Amino acid sequence: MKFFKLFLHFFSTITLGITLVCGLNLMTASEFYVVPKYILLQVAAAGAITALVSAIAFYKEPKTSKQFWIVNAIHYVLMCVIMILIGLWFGWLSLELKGILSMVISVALVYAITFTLNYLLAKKDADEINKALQRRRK
Amino acid sequence: MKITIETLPDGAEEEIIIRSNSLDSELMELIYALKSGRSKLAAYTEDGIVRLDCRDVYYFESVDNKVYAYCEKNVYEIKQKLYELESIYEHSDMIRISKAMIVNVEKISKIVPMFNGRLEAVLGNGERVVISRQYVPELKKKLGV
Repeated sequence: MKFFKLFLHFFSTITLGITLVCGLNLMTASEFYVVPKYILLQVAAAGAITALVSAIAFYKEPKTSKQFWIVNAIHYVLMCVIMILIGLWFGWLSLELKGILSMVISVALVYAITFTLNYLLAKKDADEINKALQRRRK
Repeated sequence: MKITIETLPDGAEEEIIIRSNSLDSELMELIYALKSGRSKLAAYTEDGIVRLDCRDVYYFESVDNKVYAYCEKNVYEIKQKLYELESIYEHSDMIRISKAMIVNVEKISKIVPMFNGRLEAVLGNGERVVISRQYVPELKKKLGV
């Protein structure tokens, strides 16, 4: 159950991130670029695959700050490799340096979005708990 | 609710009498809190054994199959397992925040969010402990959020 909840959490945040980055990339694409018919399903599939890998990577929470950053660095490299393979499979990019670099940057953007979302969710919980702690002390 | 406090003569045993038409959950919580708050733990140091009041404990942590009680300045070894402490102090201010830690909610100064989505509790003595995501709902429930 814990794994499934973690998977759902990653699926929602990562898929949102991929959707936003996809939207940004489409905004800068040529006017002759034809959006694939199954783009939404492809985004959902990419979100599901990366969410599964992320849930496995983060199932055991890192105990120290150092462990956290090491796990995240390895996870980021893994995500770049997976998204490049998914991108090649779905025809989002070709096997050129420009395409690969753009995917690496896109993954970094998705990272930034998911980190921000996770922080905002944690901040909401922190604010609620801090208010409750203050009420107890009155 | 009427509260009456009487001063006892020297040597007399302290006693709490609760008069109630029925024992509801709120009263039961009060009774458990009184019971566990008064009980002391046997704690071990290099110099010997001390009786520890759980209200002085900031947190319990399990490390290498041993459980330690962290107070403001000192650390003591406890013979009970973490799950046993969790059961003993179920109705007190102690709450599980990770697989290896039980924290005293009264000793938490504030909660700080972390970028990985976890929460960090800053304790009264300046120490910081991490709250696992899966234990956040229980902490919120304990605080009535």
